[in-house]
Amino acid sequence: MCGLCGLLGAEDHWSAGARQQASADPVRRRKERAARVRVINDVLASRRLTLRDWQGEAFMLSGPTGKSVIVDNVTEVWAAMDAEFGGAFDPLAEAP
Amino acid sequence: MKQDARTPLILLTGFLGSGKTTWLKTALANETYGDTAVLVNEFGEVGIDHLLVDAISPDIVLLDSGCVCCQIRGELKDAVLDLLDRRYSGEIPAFSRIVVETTGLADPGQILSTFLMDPVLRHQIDLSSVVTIVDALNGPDLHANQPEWAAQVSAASLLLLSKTDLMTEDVEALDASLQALNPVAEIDTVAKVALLSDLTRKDLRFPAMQTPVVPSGSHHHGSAKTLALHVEERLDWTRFVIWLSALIHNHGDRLLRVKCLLNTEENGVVLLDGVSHTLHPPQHLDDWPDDDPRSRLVFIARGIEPEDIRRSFRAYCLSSDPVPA
Repeated sequence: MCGLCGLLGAEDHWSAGARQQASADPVRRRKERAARVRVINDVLASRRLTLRDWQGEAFMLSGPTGKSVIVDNVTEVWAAMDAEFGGAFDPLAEAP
Repeated sequence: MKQDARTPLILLTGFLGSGKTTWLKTALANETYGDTAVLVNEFGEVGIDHLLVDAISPDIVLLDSGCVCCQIRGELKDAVLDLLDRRYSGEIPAFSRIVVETTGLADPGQILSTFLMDPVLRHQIDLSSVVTIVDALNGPDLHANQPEWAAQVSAASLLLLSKTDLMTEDVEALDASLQALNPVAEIDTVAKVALLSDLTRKDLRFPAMQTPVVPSGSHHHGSAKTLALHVEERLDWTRFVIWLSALIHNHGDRLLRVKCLLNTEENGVVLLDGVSHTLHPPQHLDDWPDDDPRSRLVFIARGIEPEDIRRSFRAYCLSSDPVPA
């Protein structure tokens, strides 16, 4: 838990890697989150969507009009794209 | 190392009439300490199987009036928690493992998701193995075209062949056919695996992944198709999870099984196992398990061409260029 803001630190999604490592090293956890955001933003760029880390606790997915959705993990990014931004990224259909 | 205090759970599945209850009955009779609690799920108004097992193991709970994979998942959770509560309070004798016998029409993916995703259950239950009983006599012909059969075989960590004594043909051909469909499962016969305690061994979770037996290439069995990939270069974990999460989000209902032993840049050796939309938490290994340093990825899918998965994986996970949008 972050002593400053009281947010629970451990991520509980398989994409965050192994459970014991995710919470043991907060710097590493932040670096991995930043890496995930960077790669997802590469995918989202052509849709004019952006993802930002939200206080190390969640992610903020925003569209070109400013519409934003808070999601907890990468799976929810795709679900939010389906629900709010006209369709998710399909790696099979869109592979070059 | 911290000991896992969770209770091991064995999920026993198999198509209608494959011999699940018969094998369970034998395995329970072979126990020295009688320390297994059993949950039997039956589809139909009148449960019968639990009566057969009840004579041997008194800790039987019958989940009737629906299939545990879809209609009564809440009841499954309640039944498991109730068993654990009664053990803690001393109402029932201590048990060291739980067996859940599903109906013959159950989709294991839905049940796994209950155990792996439920915020209470996943801290109480350690899903040790998924055992699928395969009717060697009728399975390949009668059952192979049933989607439930393919899902049950794909989800297994151990395939147990029943009725092999009635077979006139060679069992090895059936073994090869099942191995092609699910290359990451161990295959044995019901006669040879007689103890439930053998099924909670740690090394059963990723048996075939720890030996280089996964053949590269694609195979098909009925409507299910299997793709096995061997990758030389170390994988970028972040790119891989972004790709896999999107793949599962879009095609999870057709992805019967994903199992990967990955040599990653950031996280070292990672084991990943999933059924349909549900993935086990990734496990990190201290060392690479054998002499072959290549990552191994197995995908079993229905209605997806293996070549499409291979092409997509190469485009998104192996290139060092920015991820294609």
